[in-house]
Amino acid sequence: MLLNMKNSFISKSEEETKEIAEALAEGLRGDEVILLYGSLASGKTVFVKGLARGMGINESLVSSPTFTIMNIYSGKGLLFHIDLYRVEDKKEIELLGVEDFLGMGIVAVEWGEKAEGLPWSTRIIKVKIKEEENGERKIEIKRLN
Amino acid sequence: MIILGIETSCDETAAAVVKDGDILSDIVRSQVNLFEEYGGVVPEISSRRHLELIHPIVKLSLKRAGITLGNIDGIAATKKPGLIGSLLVGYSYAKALSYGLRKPLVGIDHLHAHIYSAEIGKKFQFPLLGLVVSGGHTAAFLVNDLDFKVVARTRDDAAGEAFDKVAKKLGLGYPGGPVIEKLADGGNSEAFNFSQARFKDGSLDFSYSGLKSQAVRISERENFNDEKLRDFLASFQKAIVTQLLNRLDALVKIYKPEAVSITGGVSQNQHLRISAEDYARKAGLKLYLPEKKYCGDNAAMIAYLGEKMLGAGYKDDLFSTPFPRTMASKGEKQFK
Repeated sequence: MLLNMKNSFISKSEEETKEIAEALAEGLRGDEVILLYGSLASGKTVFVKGLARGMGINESLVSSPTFTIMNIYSGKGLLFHIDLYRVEDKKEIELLGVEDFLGMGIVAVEWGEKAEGLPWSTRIIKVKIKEEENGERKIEIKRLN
Repeated sequence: MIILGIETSCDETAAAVVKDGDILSDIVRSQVNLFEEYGGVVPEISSRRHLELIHPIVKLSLKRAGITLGNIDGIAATKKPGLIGSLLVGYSYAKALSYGLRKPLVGIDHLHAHIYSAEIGKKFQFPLLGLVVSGGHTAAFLVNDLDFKVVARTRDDAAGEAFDKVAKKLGLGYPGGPVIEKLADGGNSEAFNFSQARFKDGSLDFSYSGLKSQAVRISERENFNDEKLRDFLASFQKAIVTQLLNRLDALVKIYKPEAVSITGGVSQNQHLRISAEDYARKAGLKLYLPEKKYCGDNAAMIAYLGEKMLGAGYKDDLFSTPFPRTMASKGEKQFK
């Protein structure tokens, strides 16, 4: 699967969402930040499970980090799985110390809109998941910088 | 032994003192007014907040227990799982105390401590099947004394998280579990049908994201009046409890424990407590539920389990470090 500047996919199931994420993971350099956008229950954590699979991490270990805010997994490189659902203030995000992990692995951020504009000097990929009327998911992947 | 326990794995900054299994003090940040006790403003930021609060909370726990640092025989601190920055604050503080006082330190698994919260004031029978159900975690362990084996865990959301997210979606308030429990009271729990997750591989792991998604869909479709909302919440609550007890029953059939326990924040839920008592009675199992004050995150459970572990010879050195998850997979740095 070729991932150019912008790519759009339709996923008909959780498994297809994971496959799209897996393909994305396989083409990564290993230090990107992936900002995930999508409403509640759109499949953001499912997407991260797919990233994990693509990085050789047992995807069944990947669970929602809503409460603990960040989980760290290691496979072919490290996966930092961050969930900003409970975090309201941009200053709080800065104080999470995410910059400490930049460059050390893939950083996947659920509720990515909350992290927009933070001075994270690394490659950023935006993944937008939209649920369609028929239950399918439209997944848009866009590389910035 | 007198043990100081420290908990900073998530939101709560907590410290407690335990002596020979008795809780002498139990301070949880959200339950004390530090402004009154110490003055000053409390920042609302995770790791930074723990850093500001850890020292006053520990001091308060010693004061309430009527002891000084010199009376302590050992220190127990949460080592995993949790937010790494938050864990580091409590664990590093504990390491420094251990070094300064020349007293032993033991790192505690937060989930193991939740299980033992149900033993405070009682005596466990083993083997025990321990469910931990909270906002951040949902897992089951087979426990023999201080040996803990994970036998099931959530593959996606925790049960308490499903409560919280659905409550927030409906604008009902926080924390979601208690809010939903209150509003569901008297509702018809058969009014809405939820289908439970099954894994193709036959795993008994938990899964709450499916129930959460179904609840979100229903709430978007329906126009709730008070009565319908009550029925919906009663049905949703029942679906969450049903999955917990169905999985518990399936695990009991496999592992044949003498006793079961249900702990963690969600174990405050009265519907769960009553259903669990009913189940245990029918299955002829001993059931342990924690006192309500020990359901949520606290340090009493950390100190309580810490005393047992130190007594059994477990110890951590000053080079030990916290870990964000409960289990390391193959090849990852292992928890010592």
